[in-house]
Amino acid sequence: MTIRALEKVSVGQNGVGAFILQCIKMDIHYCDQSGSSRGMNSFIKSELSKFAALNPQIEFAVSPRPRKHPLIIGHYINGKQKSICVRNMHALQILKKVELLRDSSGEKTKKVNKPVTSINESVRGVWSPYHGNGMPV
Amino acid sequence: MRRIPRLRRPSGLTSSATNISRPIAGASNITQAFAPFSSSSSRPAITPRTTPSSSSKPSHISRFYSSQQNPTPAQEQTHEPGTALQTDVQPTARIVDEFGEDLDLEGEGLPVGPFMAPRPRAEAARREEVADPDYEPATTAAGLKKVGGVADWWQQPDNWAPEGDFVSFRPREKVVASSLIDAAVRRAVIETFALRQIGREDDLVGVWPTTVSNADLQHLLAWDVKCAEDGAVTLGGDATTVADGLTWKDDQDSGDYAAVPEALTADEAAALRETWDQSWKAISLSDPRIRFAVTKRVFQLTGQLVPDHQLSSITTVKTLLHVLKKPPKPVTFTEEVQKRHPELLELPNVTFTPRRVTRGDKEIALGRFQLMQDELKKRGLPAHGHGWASKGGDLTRMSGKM
Repeated sequence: MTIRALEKVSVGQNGVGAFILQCIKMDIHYCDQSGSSRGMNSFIKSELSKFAALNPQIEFAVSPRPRKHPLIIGHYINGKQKSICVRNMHALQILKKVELLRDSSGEKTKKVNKPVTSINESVRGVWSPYHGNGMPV
Repeated sequence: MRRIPRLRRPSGLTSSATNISRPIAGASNITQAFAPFSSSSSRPAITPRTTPSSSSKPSHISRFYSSQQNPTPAQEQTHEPGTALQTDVQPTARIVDEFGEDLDLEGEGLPVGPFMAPRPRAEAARREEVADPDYEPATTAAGLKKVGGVADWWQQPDNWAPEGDFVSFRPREKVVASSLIDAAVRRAVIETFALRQIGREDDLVGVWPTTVSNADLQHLLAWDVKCAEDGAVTLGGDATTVADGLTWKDDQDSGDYAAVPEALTADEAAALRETWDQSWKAISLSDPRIRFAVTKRVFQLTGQLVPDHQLSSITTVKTLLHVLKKPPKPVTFTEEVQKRHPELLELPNVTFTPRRVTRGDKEIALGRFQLMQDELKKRGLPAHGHGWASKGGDLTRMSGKM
C-alpha cells in the first residue's frame, strides 16, 4: 500500500496567480570622486527616479561608498542577497543589471538538465516497506 | 566734495616711491575736481587695533632713544645756550615721573600699525639729578633687579594684528552675485576703453586704484555705453576724468580707515543693470591688451579669475560674463543630487544617505545598538570608536611620527 499525501486545496506554482516580487530591497552604492562611478552617478541622476517609480514594491537605499567601485546589492525574500559590481559601466548598462536583480528569485544559480520541471507528485505515490502485504522471500 | 581715503598699494606690486615700513595711517587729500576712481576703499582693509593719529599721539612716543630729539617749533624759538642741560634732562625726568610709582615695563604695548610696539625705554635719573645725598649709583649689574626688556616681544603672537599687513591684489571675498559681476565688468570695460581713447596704452597693464565712492560708481555705471555695428565703442561720458582717476598716486598712499565708504549692493547693481543698453555686451574684447586689462580689473574688483584656457575663447563682453557667471561646480555628487534632483528624494521607496552607511548605522536601524551598548558598557568597552586607539595609527607609524 502506498501513502497518499493530503490533498492540498491550493498550490503555489512559482507565483502564478498571486505573484510577489522576490526582490525586496536594493542597495545602490556610488563614489563621489572615482571615475569608475561616473556611469553610476549618471544612472542615479537620470534613470533611478523613473525605475524606482515603476517598481514601488522595491526599497532603494542610495548611499556613498567612498574610494570603492560602484555596487548594486539586491535583497530577496528568502533572505539571500546578490551583488553586482558595476564599475566603468554606463547608465544603460547599469539599468540592465538593475532589471536583472529585480527579476531574480534570490535562489542560487542552478544547472537545469531536464527540459520539463514539474511540482506535481507522482501518481504512483511513495513506496514504503511497512505497508502492504509484503512479499515472502 | 567728499573726502575719501585710499588704500595702500598691493604688496605684490613694487613701487619705487612706496615706503613699506611706513605705518598705515594718515590722511588723504584729493585735489581733483571730480575723481571718481581716486576715492575711497571698496574692500575692508587692515585695521590696526587702535589707529593713532598724529595729533592725539603722546609726545614721548615719538622719542624712542635718548639720542633722538624732536624739538617742537616753540622749543626751537625759545632755545638758548644756557638752557641746554635743562632741555636734555627734562624728557628723562618726565619719563621716570610717569612710570615712577607704577612702573609696568612689561605690560601693554603701544599700537603702531599692525603690531604693538613695546613701551618706550624709561631711563633712571642721573646722579646729579637725584636730591638724596646718600644715593650712590651702581657700577656693576650684580644684585640689581632686572626690569623690562623686549626679549621675546616680537615672537609673541598677541603683539601682532591677526590679519597682518598684507594687502593682496585680489579682494578678500570673492563676489558671486550676478548683478555685482555685471557692474564690475562694465566698470572695467569703461575704464579700459577710457584709457585707450585718450591714448594711455601703457597704463592698461598698470595698477589702478580700487577706491571709489558709491555715488561716483553709480554715476559711472549709469553711462550710456554703446557698441556700434562696426565695433566702435561710445562711452557716453568724459573719458579723461575716468582715466585721471586710474593713476596710482603713492603720495596719497594712506587713508582714514574709519571712513571706508559703503560698497555697491547687489540690489543697486541690479537696478542699474535694467537701465543699460544691451549693445554693451557686444563690445569686442578680441584685442589681447583690452582683454588682459578687463580680466585683470575684474579679478581685482571681484576675485573672479578667468582660467587661462578660457581666455582665448573670450571675444566679447557677453562671453566674458558667461564665463564669470558659470555656477560653481558642486563639491560632491551627494550635494549635486540633494540640490538638483529633488524628485529622487521625494519618492517614498527611495532613501538617500549623504554619508557612508556603516555597520553601526545598520544596527541602529535594526534597534539592536542599544543592547550592544549595554553589553559593551558592562565590559568597560567604548560604545563608539576604538577607545584609546587613534585613527590612522598605521599611517602615523609608517610616516615615522610614532
